[in-house]
Amino acid sequence: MKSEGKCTKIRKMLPYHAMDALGHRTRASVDEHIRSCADCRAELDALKKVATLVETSELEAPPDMWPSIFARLKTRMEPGQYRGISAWLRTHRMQSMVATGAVIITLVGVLLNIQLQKEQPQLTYHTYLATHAAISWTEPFADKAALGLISTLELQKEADVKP
Amino acid sequence: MKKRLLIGIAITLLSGYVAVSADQPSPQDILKKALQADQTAQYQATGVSWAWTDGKQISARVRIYRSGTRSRVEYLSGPLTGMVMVDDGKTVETLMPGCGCPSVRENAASPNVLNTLLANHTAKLVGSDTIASRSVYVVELLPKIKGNPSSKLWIDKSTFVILRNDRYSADGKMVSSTRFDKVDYSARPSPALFRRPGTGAIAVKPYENLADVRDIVGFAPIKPGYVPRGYSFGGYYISRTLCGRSLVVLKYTNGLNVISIAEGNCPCVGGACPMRGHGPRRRAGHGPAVCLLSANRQARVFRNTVGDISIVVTGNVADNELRKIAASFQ
Repeated sequence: MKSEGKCTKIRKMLPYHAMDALGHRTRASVDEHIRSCADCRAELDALKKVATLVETSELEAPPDMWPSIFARLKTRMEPGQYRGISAWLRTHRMQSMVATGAVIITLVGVLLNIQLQKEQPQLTYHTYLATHAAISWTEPFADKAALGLISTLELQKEADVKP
Repeated sequence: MKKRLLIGIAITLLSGYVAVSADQPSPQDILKKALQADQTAQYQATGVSWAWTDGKQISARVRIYRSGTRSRVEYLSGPLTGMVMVDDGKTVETLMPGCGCPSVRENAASPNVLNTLLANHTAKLVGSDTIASRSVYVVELLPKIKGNPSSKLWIDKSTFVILRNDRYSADGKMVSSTRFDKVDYSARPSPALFRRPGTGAIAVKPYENLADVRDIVGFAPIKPGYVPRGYSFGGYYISRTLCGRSLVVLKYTNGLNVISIAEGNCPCVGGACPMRGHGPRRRAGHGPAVCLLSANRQARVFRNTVGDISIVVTGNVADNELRKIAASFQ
């Protein structure tokens, strides 16, 4: 039987898997799970598509963005302190790489979140009314014929509102 | 002479009353026998079922087979024509024509049902009637605590089978009704009628153990801080929803009526809540935001959110009680 708890844990790692950001062991564990879980596999496929879209998108900064930032930085420096942005990047290579990575991950996360929200429409009250009727079935003197009508019609209405 | 005549009349009236009283069992006895008959009776019947959903009345002609705890309901007209519900005593399977989508739910035993029912309701024998050419007792079940639903049952005087069953909402409006127009006690329904195809996945399943529930859904369901007087916990259920995720449903019962509390931790659970955080729906101070998702005649639906868990309270009790339950989650 498939464990919901396992799926929940695995799904948290799927965005990192889609971006090849998982360690070897974790990746192997996720791969093992998705081989036997169609739902998680489908979700990973969707995430990979989004990651590909992000990677291949040709976003360009406005032409005056860097000169403007550069000018503002320059005005905040003490005279004689400025050594040029390239010099700063050379001395802070690790920090700049980490910062760039963080920005990319944040952007991808935002895009993924938007995509997941789109793919998971909210259940409506019909689901709760159907479940309510279903669990009332075993009450003493329950009107089973009427409960059958209610639970099935509510489920049909829920199915009708889904895209 | 006059005095003797009066005494004679009094004795005659008293003996008549005693004779009538001896013929009439108490409503509690009638209900007890009706509950026994519900576990043992065999019959085939036809009738009509009504129910109200989304403010509309729907009806269907039904054919019902019973053999002890097993039942089969066939819907012969109405919006669900052709649908069949087979209950083999443990599991109910709903089959729709032309749809490879059987819905299956498992039943849970309800112990001490009559005691709970009678502790929370006053049973009244209100008279006799004739249903499906059978002489019946008419018994009303009225809630001892205001704001709860009531029921009226027409019970066969010989077999104690319920031939008509009317349900009323907490505010006295009819919610559902099933009445037989023909019943045949000599029928011996074939065991094949109660055999489920067994092709569908379980959609609703009862659980007794919290640890099992937690392992399956990946979070520990929360119990409410408040439940209305007369209601007690009746078990956990796990319900598979159309968005592919599972809900934990906590059942509370007063013997006649159920309050269900659905909990889930995925983004699709909860339902759109347009009024959330506005007006009187928000509790004073910084308490949880409770909103009304639906106000149907058969039940009202309230929603709350605690952390990443959405909580949906559904029931046919007074709105202020449901709101209080929803707000009691911390």
